Amino acid sequence: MKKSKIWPITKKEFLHIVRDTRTLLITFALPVVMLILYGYALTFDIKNIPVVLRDMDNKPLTRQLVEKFKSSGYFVVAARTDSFASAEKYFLSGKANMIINIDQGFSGRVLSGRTSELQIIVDGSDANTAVVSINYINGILRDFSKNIILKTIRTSAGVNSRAGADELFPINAKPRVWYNPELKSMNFLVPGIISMVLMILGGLITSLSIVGEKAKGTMEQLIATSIKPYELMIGKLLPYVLIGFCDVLLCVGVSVIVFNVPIKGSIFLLFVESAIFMFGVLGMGMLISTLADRQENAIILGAFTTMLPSLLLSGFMFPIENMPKIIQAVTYLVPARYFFTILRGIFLKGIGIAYLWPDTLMLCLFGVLMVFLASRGFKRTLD
Amino acid sequence: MLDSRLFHLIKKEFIQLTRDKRLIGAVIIAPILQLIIFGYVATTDVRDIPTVVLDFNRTSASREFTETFANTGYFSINYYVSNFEEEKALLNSGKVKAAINIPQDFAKDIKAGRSAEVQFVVDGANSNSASIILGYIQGITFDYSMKVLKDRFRNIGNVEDKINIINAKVRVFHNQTLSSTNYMIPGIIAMLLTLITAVLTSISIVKEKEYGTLEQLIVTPVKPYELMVSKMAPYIILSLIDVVLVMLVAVFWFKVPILGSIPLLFALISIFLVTNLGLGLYISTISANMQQTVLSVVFIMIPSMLLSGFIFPIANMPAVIQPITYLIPMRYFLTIVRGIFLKGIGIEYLWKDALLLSLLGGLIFTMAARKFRKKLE
Repeated sequence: MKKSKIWPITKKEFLHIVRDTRTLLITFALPVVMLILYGYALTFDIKNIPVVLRDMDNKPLTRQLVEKFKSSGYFVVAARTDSFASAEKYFLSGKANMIINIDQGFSGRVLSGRTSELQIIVDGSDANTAVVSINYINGILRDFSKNIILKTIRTSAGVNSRAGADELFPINAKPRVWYNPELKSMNFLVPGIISMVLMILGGLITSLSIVGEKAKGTMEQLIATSIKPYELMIGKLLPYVLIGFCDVLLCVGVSVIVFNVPIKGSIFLLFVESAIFMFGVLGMGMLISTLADRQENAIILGAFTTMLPSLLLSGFMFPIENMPKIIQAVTYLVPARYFFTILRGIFLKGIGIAYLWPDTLMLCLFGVLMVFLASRGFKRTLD
Repeated sequence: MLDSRLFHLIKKEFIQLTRDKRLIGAVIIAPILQLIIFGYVATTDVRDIPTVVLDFNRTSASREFTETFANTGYFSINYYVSNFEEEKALLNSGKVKAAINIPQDFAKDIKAGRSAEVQFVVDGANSNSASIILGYIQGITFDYSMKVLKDRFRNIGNVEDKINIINAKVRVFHNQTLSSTNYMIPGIIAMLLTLITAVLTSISIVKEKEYGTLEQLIVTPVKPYELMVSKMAPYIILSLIDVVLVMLVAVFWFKVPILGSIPLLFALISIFLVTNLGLGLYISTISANMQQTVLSVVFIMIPSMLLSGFIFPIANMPAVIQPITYLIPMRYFLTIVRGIFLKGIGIEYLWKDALLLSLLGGLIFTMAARKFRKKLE
């Protein structure tokens, strides 16, 4: 039997990569920097919203209410003012996101049980922060009202006065949060970072390496030798598989050791799924390289088909269920979607193949399709 | 004449650019497509949360309670199950994000004037959605309770009239519909501009390096600045075309309002473009090949995008990290674009950001130009 020529090609490609220290360094630094950013800096948790307070009533009750806002930790009083005009200025300069306006006679109305209104003016330009702030305000007002109402009921209606608040109120919601009880953004983002890094590495970097050889003419030299196309292909891809695995290990290691992200499921399954995903992504990189004749086209094609969809359409940054129906259908074509669901399932939910087989199947199909298309295109370019 | 040499160089770049039809297509069509897709995708609004109901009570009261949730539009009840195992399976598979568990004595407790405890389960994997869902749950439950209380005290003296809560009367400034699209689109424009200008300039220079044609140009009497200007000119024009196209899509397709001054917007966009060109130039001087270029762009762009306030508000970042964001040009640009688009404010509010952006842009550009000249000489 003839000795396989995969190994020498792999060795050659590996030397190329190792010699290019900066490329190698960035492939490892990128996931670490992103993890650190997400771990320390980036959070959806909204706290310390700067508020302008205009309290025209200024009675014990309103002061008590303001105290409730402050002690919730969600709001800080950035300024107090008597005029609306100056309050609005804070908005425009971005120094405050919200104005709380308490009119004269507010506490009188509340204490006599009449309908009372607390006026909230919110800067809606950041819609998410605005929605969350309004949610917080409503929550605080509900708790505050609840106590007043229960007092009214006790005194006026002669209901058993010893009953506690929870026993008098008709329905109490007891919410429980599963999978990520502390609601840490980090736990959610680690799987996304892993899939994005693999996507960039497999889709962009490999295709660039192949197109680069094509452009320099060294590919033709390789073809002129007795190396078979499949040997050339596998040989060129193997080093990237290795780097990909190192990146997965690095991400998992940093997130578990430094950031205490839990891995509830099987680590073995995590690596198997990563291998399947990489198989497809590398195939995609191959396919891009056969479609693009120049490196700049490979970059644009690669960025457009790998990086951006895996960032935006995988559910990583924006939940898929919130997208319009047509775009939701498009996400089924994005392999990162399946991989992300799988990773999240393994990391946070601790579920196994019993739940994950449909996504795994889709990943396998994607991989087979990509490699099939790529090898067909590859053969044609070589012949 | 010096000027004519520069002119011919610019012409050469244009010819090279127009020859590559695919690249032109990518530069013109890709941003529009991306804006359209991202415009729809980039939403943090939470609606139609897929929900499962596990009702141990099965009375008209419990049905009414769960229907209240469906009627708000925030929850869509897709499944009714009869035991915890089925509920858990639905949550595990991700088919539902929330569960409502109604206890057996729900109706009896309410009727007797006792408290009924309803348990909710929320999928917390996406922490942002989860905290919004938790807020909705508390709100809807509370409103329903108030209704029950009012019914209970309907015939007892004047108590019913005294049971009132403090309502928050919310008025929204600047983005009345609270659509996250309005907030995201200016950010997407900034991101696309950065990608196109920085990526394409650095690629076009590194390409000449790789093919060795840059060295050929150096031995000619072409001066470094002429080379630099001629390399950038086509991309300045292309990105300005992109700005106009993308803006048209934003205004006419997504109906994002531009409340402020359009000339001011374009003036400040130009400053941002120069900053990005400088960034692209800088990347090209430190990159030997395409792989390095792409990785450097990704390595610089992604963190700066994430720290600019595009998706994650800067105010929420820890105090140690916040100073770093002052070094990111996109931070100032986002404040400016959002201010002009949504708040309609002018230079009297934006001068600080405009000044800092100009300073930072000037700094990046001079640094890059210097490094580029040194490389060539």
